[in-house]
Amino acid sequence: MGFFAPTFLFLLSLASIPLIIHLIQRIRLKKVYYSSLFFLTETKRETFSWLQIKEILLLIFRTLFIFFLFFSLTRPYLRKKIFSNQYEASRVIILDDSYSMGFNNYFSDAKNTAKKLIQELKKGSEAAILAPSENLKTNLTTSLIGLEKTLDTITISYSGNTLESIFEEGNALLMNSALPRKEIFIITDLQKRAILPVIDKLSSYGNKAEITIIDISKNNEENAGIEKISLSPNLPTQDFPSKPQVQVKNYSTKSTKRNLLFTLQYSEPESLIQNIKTEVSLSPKETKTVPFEVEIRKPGTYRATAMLSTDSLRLDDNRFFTITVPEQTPILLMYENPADIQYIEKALKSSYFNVNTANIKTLRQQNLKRYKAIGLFSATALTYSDWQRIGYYLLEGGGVFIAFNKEIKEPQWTKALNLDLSLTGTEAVIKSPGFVTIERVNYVNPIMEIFRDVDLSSVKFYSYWEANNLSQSQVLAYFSSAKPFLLEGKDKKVLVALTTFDVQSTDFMFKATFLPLVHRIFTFLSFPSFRQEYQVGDTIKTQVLTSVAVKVITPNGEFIQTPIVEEGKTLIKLSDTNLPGFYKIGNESFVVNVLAEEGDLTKISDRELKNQNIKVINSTNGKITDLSRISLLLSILFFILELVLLVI
Amino acid sequence: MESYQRFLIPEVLAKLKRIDIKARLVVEGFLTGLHRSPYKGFSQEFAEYRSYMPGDEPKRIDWKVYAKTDRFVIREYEEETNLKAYILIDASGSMKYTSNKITKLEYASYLAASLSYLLIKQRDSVGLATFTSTLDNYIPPRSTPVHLSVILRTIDMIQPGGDTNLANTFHKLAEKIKRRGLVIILSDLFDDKEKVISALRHFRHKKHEVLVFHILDKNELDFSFSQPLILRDLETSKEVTLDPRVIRKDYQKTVHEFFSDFKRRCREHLIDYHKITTDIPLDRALFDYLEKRSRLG
Repeated sequence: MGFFAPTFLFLLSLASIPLIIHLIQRIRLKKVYYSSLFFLTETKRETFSWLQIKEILLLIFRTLFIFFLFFSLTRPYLRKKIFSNQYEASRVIILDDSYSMGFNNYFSDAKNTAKKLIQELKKGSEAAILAPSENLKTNLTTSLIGLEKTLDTITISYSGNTLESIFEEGNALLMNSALPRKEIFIITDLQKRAILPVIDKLSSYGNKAEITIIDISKNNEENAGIEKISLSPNLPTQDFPSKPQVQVKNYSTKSTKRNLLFTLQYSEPESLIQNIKTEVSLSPKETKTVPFEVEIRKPGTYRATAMLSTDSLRLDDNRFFTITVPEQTPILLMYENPADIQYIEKALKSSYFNVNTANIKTLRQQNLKRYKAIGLFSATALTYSDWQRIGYYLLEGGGVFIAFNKEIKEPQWTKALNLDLSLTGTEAVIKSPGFVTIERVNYVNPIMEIFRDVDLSSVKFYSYWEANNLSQSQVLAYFSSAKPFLLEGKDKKVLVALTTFDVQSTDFMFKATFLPLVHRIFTFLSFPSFRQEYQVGDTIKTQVLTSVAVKVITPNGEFIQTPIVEEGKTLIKLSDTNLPGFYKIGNESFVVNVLAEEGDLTKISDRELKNQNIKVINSTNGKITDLSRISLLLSILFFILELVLLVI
Repeated sequence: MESYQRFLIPEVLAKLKRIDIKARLVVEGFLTGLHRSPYKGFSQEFAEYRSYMPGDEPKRIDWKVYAKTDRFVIREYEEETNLKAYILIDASGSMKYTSNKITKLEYASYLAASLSYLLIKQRDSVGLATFTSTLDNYIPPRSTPVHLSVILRTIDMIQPGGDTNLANTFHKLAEKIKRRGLVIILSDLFDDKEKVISALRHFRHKKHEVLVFHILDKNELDFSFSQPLILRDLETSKEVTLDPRVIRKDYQKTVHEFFSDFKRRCREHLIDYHKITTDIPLDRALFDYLEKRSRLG
């Protein structure tokens, strides 16, 4: 027997209070001289006997009532033995500390099972404990008591790591052990996504160590969580503001009803925009997207938090989101003839872009770093070194939009831009009977998503460039000739339109869809190039424009970090992302979230386990039975018995 | 309440020191009340007239006869010298008990003294016997005032203690008392009921009239202790730990049954039985005695 709260053990001494009071009463009992016990001896003998028994019973019941009351406070438990015999072995214990183990008291059960596994080793054995989050990683040691104490310090992680890599590490540890008997114990909730990679690996594992999985889960896991927070549309612009939406998933086989609290705020200056509470009904296994009627339009950094009313697994009930909408964005449009950009310039000048124009011949004199994005509308005169310069600009986070008016003379330009693109002809193709239209559109792309319900087929193109070999580039829209109209480079910062925006080539400039498309292209290109959402355990990597130390803010606190130089870029790498929440490096905002899939508690099937001939011990073996409730019930029982005895 | 009558209250009486004064005050108080009672004049029975002789007290002259006959005559009363009363006082340890201010023995002493005083005053003979487990004192009956002082002194000197062996003592006394008379027993009767009844029958067998004053403390009837306690027997020093609240009902029932049965058994054998608690004024017992005395004629 053990105690989860042994500090309360001293309270058990209070159980002696009734006995002490009883003895004190006996000592201090008033002694009265009485004429004769004549009548008392006449009084029925049974009455006295019953009184004596009653007094003793009362004393026992009172003592037991107090004893069990305080006993329940110590949270006593009984632990069954996992093995009938102790033996010498080299034992690696893999303690699954992924956040799904936070369900009910799985993790404390798992820790206690791990302790038991250590305690049941014979002297001379060695053991190690490994956790997939790497919060705990020990070498094989014979100091088993120290290992047990180490277990007390570990808390559940926010990670959603699977078990295969830690299993390999455990296996490697055992290879260095001199003891003949080698064992790996995996204490887990048997969550399918975590354990399946291990099972797959075992098929080629051989018999290097005896592997046992200890299943500490029950069969009634019910859970719902937040999968993601997103914007609709994904790319907020002045003319098409975005609205946030929260995707909630019910992983369980029962319907559930939850409250969802959504909070949106500006981060600088910090101010609350809206706090919305809504109720979400979820059918079994249903995924539901809950939209919120609040607009993200203004430039600035937004922070959002979604909180689902908690269940037994609370770590997936919170999610964070951040987005930075660029302020007045400087862009540069380069032309051979001013007529090349007249419509584009007009379209962009009316919005929040700071539009600059220059002749393409002056490219070498331009400081491209000043601009978030540049548009090249005549590339005929550019040499390979010009293209290389544009390539560096892209590496530093800039965005480039290219629209041809003539053939590009430099054949290696696509290589300089890391574009997977080849043009088939040297002249723009004139299509018979005269034009092509836009036919297929990739609406998933954030630039094109707003055109889902818009008819683009009325746009006519009288000439265009035919492009092929686009295996790594993404085509955002096709001409009706099945050739690409708009495509995106694989690093997503180069957009190429296979047409010229002049009246000889197209009437697109006179269509209502032209302006939003141009806006979205340049907004997309000038949007921050870095990733803003990470998972727990990821390394946040962001480019900074300074080599001096920058301030880093995490949910754990603030500190200063010096950037490092890697591949010619000045970077900040932040690997301590064990806590979900908002992070800030310099002026850039990030969020770290838990892996949503970890909330799916679906267990691996018995069949999948049996196929691999893995020994699975049920959680009842070596199981810890919490006696607190029984103790409390006994306390109540004895209290009632005492009352009954007092009444009769 | 007249000044004498307050001395009928045992607690008031306990404040006085001398037993003879106590006895006198009780009887005076009793008789003061008696003038208004149906027993008025009972104690002195008219016998005859005789001529006034020098030396007679002038107050004894019957002035009505003088008015009719012009002769000084004295009214003579018949003296009752044929009653021999034996007062038996139980001085065992249990008589020491009190829950109030006076013990049962003190109460019995006051009553015995008062009865003696009254008896002598009525020219009856009074004898006294005190006993514990054995017979401690025995004074044969006489009717002289000097004898009264002997009896009162003896009563005053009673020392309680020891065990009770009522039946044995009563048997001895029954054999010892030769002349038939009135046996007045002052005791708490804490002994085997059958044996006591048998002993009382012995008195009756010897043609004695028996008047039993069963003297008890009120607490012995009510058992009104409130807290758990240890009771120690005044006679045997045995101890019992108990919670009175729990056994009170049973105790009261036992006591009630005991007294009812005792009373019934006494009635069967023509024994006068009176239960008296120490908080009751003494005249109650005196009335009981006078009632008995009147029946004796």
